[in-house]
Amino acid sequence: MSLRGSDLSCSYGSTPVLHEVSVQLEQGELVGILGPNGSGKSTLLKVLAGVLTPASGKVLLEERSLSEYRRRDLACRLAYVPQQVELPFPFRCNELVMMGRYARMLGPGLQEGAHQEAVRQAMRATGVEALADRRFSELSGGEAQRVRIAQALAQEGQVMLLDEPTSHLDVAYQLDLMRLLSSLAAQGQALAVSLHDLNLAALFCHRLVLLKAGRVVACGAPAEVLTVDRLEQAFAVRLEVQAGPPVRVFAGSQSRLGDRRVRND
Amino acid sequence: MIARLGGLMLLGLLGLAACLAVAVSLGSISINLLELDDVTRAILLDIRLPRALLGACVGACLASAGVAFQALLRNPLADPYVVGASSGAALGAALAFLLGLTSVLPLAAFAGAVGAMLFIVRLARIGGALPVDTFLLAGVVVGSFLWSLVSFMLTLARQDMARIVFWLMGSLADARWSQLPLILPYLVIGLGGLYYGALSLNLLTLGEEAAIPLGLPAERAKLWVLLGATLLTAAAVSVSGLIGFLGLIVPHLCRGLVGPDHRLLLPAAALGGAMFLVLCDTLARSLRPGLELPVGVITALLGAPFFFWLLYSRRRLT
Repeated sequence: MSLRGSDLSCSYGSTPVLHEVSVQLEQGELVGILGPNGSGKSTLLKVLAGVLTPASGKVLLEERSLSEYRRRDLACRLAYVPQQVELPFPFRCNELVMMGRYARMLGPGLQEGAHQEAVRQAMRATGVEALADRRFSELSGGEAQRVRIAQALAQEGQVMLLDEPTSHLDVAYQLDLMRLLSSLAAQGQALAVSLHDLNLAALFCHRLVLLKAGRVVACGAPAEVLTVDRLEQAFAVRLEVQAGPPVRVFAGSQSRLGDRRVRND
Repeated sequence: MIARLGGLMLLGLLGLAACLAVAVSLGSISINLLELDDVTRAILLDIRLPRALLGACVGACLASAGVAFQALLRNPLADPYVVGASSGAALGAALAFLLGLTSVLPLAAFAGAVGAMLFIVRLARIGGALPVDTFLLAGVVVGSFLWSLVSFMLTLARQDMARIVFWLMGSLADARWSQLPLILPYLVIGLGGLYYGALSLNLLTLGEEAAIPLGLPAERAKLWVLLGATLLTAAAVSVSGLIGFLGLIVPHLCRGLVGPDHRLLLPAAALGGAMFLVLCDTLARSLRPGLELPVGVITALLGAPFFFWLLYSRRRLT
């Protein structure tokens, strides 16, 4: 199962957010999407997930354009975990994970028996079985992310896209979550995840895509992407990079802020 | 799920039967259901039973429409009247009174409610999509415009004013057997349709960005939900006027009892709304013998304090 976006361009109103971006995602791969705020990471994920239609360019899943799939068929193959979800009503965790089965249910879905095993399995894989009867709104940030990933797993697709799943988590939960994602990749899932933490990306991702102002600055293995010059190009700050593996990036005493004026390029 | 649904239906139908029994027994004279004579049988069959059944239907319509609107707008403070249905119905009814066409009053109110909703949807649609926020805003704006038209007509039609105002307050006093066919089909179709899409309602509460990747064709789902909820509201309004607050309170109470899953919430709210309105109407006509209160006044008297409590407890939570 592979997901390929080619020459994707997208704009909100007259503001362009993606400009001819091409990315590819293969089975068993964990790809990190990096870039400064507003560089188009979230938009790229939404376009890849089919939530947003690009102004031009194409997203192909198994050589078929996303727009050719029915929503339900797409949901059985590809899962997308948005950055945040706000629940106005007090759903319990197992109810939320069961929603991952929506695409495989008919009508009001009163015959849940066939789906309960999938829900249990997804919750076991993310280690949230004990939370099944808890209200989602009562969970800690780390628990909530795991439940949402369980929901995506319950869709039983082979591609998973996650928008900044580690933001708002403490360092232990961040590591925990990235380990979970790499174990999913090891089981054959194709994952793309947007991240802010460069070291986390270097530690866990097989490949990185570095964006700036809606364009790809660099794409490849962490050692190729995380270089002093490329990072400066993207983030306009000179960072120190220690050769790996894993590559380590830090703001040392030599780091200095580059020219952060907004340029129209 | 089936077991829980079965239990809920059984309990609810028993409760509703009990409420109906209470409703037909109480009133200006008390009737013992086990010892009927010709007079009491006539009162029971011709007056009280149709009224109680109509109340049950109206209550079920309003409560399930409230559930649907709350899910669609992702807001527990929404009710069936939040976007235009009430003002459209009021305009239709006022027009009917003004033109002396009271025989087609239900039709006028129904057409007003549906027409207002269609207009609002048309207004709020942007390139094939119906953003919920825009829809809500358009609904509020169109609603206040229509209400100002209603006020304008009220000042024109001084002799009909009392009747129009009384209608606006909501009442079941005119209930007859002949009105049941005006509402029952919509209850069956609207509630049945919404129930068939109960899982889609669950997903809509997550927000579209989360719901679409789970497989929901969100734009289509929103229009279907809107259609179902509008038909339920319009049907209720056409036979009973604007009975307020029920569509807000009952979904809440039921969500507290059975949880937010619409597969249980919809039937619970429909049954709960039916019971609630049957009891409120019994109260409305037996509180003071000889004086009949509009049932909308009773539901609002109970509803407004509840609304404040809701706001208060929400503020404490956040």
